[in-house]
Amino acid sequence: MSEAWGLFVFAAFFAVLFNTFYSDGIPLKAELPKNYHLQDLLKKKQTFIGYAGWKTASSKSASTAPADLALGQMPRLSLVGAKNRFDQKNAVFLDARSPEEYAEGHIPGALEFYADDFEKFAPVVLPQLKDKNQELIAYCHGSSCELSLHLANALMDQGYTNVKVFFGGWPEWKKANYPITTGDQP
Amino acid sequence: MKTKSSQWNTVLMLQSLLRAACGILLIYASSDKLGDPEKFLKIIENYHVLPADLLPLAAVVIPWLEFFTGLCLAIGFQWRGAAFLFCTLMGIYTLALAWNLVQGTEMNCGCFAMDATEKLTGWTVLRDLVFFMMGLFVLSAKQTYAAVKKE
Repeated sequence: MSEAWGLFVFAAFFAVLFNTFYSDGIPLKAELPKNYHLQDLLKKKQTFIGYAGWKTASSKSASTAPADLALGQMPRLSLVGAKNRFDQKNAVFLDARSPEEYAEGHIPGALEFYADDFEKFAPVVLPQLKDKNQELIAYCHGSSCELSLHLANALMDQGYTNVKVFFGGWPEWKKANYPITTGDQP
Repeated sequence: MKTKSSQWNTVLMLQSLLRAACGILLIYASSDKLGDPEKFLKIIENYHVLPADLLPLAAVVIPWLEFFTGLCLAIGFQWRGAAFLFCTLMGIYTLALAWNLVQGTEMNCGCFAMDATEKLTGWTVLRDLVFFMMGLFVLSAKQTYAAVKKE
């Protein structure tokens, strides 16, 4: 046991020392590295945070949940995770794709919430959610699509605490032959 | 009596071989992580098992802990302590992977190569559980062959 402890202390000490002098070392107390590409995209989408109609109601939450934190803590779901939640019917799916794509096919029960038109859809969708702890699952075209990330981050900025992203999204869901529905209704 | 001794030596031989194998495995696992703590940080961040404040420190320490533990196991220096750390690491990895599997989290395992798109499945958890059992088997040895003697 003392051997293990000694080895642990030596490795930890060496690691910290190496990191201090290593050119690609990371700050041990600084902010976590973020997805800078997304960070840039979010900065361009200031309207997400500035939507007056419901920012007032959640101003306290918004101020304590900055975009940086949301990006760092973004939980992701696999197809299995998404299907489990679909079966349990506790989570709300949010389709971040365009209205046309939503009408062509979506996960049954998923609410239409086009991420690029957040201001239009927020007043329609958000009142349908139970509360800010409601489990929300955003999805779009799959791993190459960032709409679900935009949506999830905007929701987290507004104080929604249980937001997840189903990265496989619509293509993975469809490929698995899971239930789908068409039209502009959930 | 001779047969019993011979069997005992066979077990010891197997434990010694596994000790070295576990060491090489851990050195290999650490090799991709040592030079890129930032990328490794993103991987362990997705496990959602450590508080955010501890993540950078863990991203820096874990690869070197794997490396030195692996080195000690491979050469048989302080091998018992190293085997204990190996079991601890594998136990933690197995639990973290199993928890994320149950949660349905989509993530890159980051177990061996950080760029690999190895999806988390039941096999990943089983594999780490096998590694954990191997470590326990090594730890149960009373002595080992081909080890660097501690002065």
